[in-house]
Amino acid sequence: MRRAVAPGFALALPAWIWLAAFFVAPVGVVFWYSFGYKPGLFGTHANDVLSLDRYAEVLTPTFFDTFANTLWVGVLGTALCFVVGAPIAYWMALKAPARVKGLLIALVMVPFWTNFLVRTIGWLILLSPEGWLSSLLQDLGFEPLGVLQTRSAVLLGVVYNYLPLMILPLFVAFDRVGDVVREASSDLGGTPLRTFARVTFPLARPGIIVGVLLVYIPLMGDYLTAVVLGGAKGNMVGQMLASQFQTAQNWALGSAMAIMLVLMIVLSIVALGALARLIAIPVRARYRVDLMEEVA
Amino acid sequence: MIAGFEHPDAGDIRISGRSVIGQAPYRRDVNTVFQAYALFPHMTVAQNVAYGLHERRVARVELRARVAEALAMVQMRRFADRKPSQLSGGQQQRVALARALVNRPAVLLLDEPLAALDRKLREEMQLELKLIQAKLGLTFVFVTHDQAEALSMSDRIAVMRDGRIEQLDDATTIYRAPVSAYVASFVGQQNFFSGVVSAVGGEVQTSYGPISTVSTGLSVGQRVRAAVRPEFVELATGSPPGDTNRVEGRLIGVSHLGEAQQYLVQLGPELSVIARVATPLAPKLQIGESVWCSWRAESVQLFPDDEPIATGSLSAPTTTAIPAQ
Repeated sequence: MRRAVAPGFALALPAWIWLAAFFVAPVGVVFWYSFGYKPGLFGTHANDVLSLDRYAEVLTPTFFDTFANTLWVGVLGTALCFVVGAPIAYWMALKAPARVKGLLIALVMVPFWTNFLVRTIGWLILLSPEGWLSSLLQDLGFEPLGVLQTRSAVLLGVVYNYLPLMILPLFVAFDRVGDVVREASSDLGGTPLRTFARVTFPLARPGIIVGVLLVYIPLMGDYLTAVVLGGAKGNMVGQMLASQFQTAQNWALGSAMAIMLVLMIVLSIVALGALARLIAIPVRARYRVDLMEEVA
Repeated sequence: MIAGFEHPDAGDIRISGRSVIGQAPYRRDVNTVFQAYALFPHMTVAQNVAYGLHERRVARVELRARVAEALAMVQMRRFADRKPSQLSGGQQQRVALARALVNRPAVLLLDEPLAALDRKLREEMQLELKLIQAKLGLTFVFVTHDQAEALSMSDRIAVMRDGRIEQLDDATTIYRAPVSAYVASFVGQQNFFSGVVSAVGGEVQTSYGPISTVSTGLSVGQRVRAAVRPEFVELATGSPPGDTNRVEGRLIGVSHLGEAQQYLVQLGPELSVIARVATPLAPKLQIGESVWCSWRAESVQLFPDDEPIATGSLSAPTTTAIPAQ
């Protein structure tokens, strides 16, 4: 007897409903608000007159400065996370003894057990010019620590807060590459560096993309790290945006900023992807083997 | 160890006269056909084969010609632009072989390359490998657990036990004149009789009667095992004439092997004899019937009693070496 089976999409229906209700709809609302205006001192938004005025309001030199700063922190922070995280993930997946792998993953996850804000404030104590690290350095004859309220402090906090998000997908990616094909490369004359470039890296690429996006996207919207460690110099779009909703109570302007931020995240990712593809073109050409050419 | 992924505790490995101890795998003139193929999944067949040549910075025109030649040799030329995931196991095996061969290494190491293939394909590949080896004149080191494969493929066989070479000889010598009871029992089947040497001429007293041999070099009174291959054992319903070795027993099993029939004859509570007769010559015998097993003195080999024999003969690996011609 054949039993009637629900079509494939039906199984995904709960997920679709969830996504529609809690992701698509809110973004739609924000999009809608961005065409409205702030009606008065006590109102947050009104949509009876639609205009692009809020976008004009957003696109001021202040916003571009802040956006450039955000992009700078986002790109550099993501790059630093990759530079720090990739060797750790590589070592964990391919060099560490198999029996300690579980423990290592647990250690990477441990910071997540504490609240994001508390973790960041912890750095504030450590880095403050009156803190114990600073006095220790002064005892050793150095200047007091002046790293707080700078971009360096922000980057430090970013690497610390987002590193696990980079390490975990990279670990999975490197782990899936495994030893077998890497040994094959070595057997065929590939030095360790070449083996990484031609086998390990291309095979781990999907995981690397996931890791980069997982760090870059939330980092572009983050402002807590910047506020706590960077002070006024660490101004980020996320902070501006939050203040429109929370302090200025101008939801319309805040929504326009949110939409611009989303747009810029998407555009920067597209640009980055295009750049990566451009770089890959000569590499692909170098290793293309077309046996048909020989006939000509 | 030959490829360089493991390091020997002691001893030396020399390739073309030069020691390779401490040399990294990518510096050795050895290429491996891995048991699991280990093809690069993100590259096409042609790119896989070209990998070693790219690493050796072989010029483009020569590279293309050599890749094409290697793929033609394993009959995979028309699959050049496919990805490994689009190939069957046997086809992947061929690509792995081409990928190693194309570099023309001093030594080609084949690590149980045919283990994952079905029997028919395996036999085809065995034949092809032999032909390719003869054509190229490279040294193949062929690791296998399959004794039949070892016997049929190799010029020289090294039978390994616990990491040591028991015997290194050509297939015929390994089979006909094994140096130890282990080799004798590991390669092919054997019937073993325990006994004591009773005459210098080589007669052994066993609990199933005397066995005469032509072996020398053992002293009277020494405890030995006498070994006879199943194909040397003849079967008859009546007592065979002459002074050949003979024992009487009861036929308890017959199995059909295709080209031969295998008989199991029980002599006593703890001993059975296996006899193998080519199918056209096989006698029609009833199970339960009383039969005589006989064999010539020349087909008996003696080994000291204290030498171990291979148990579960598929558990220990054999290595086969085919030297360059």
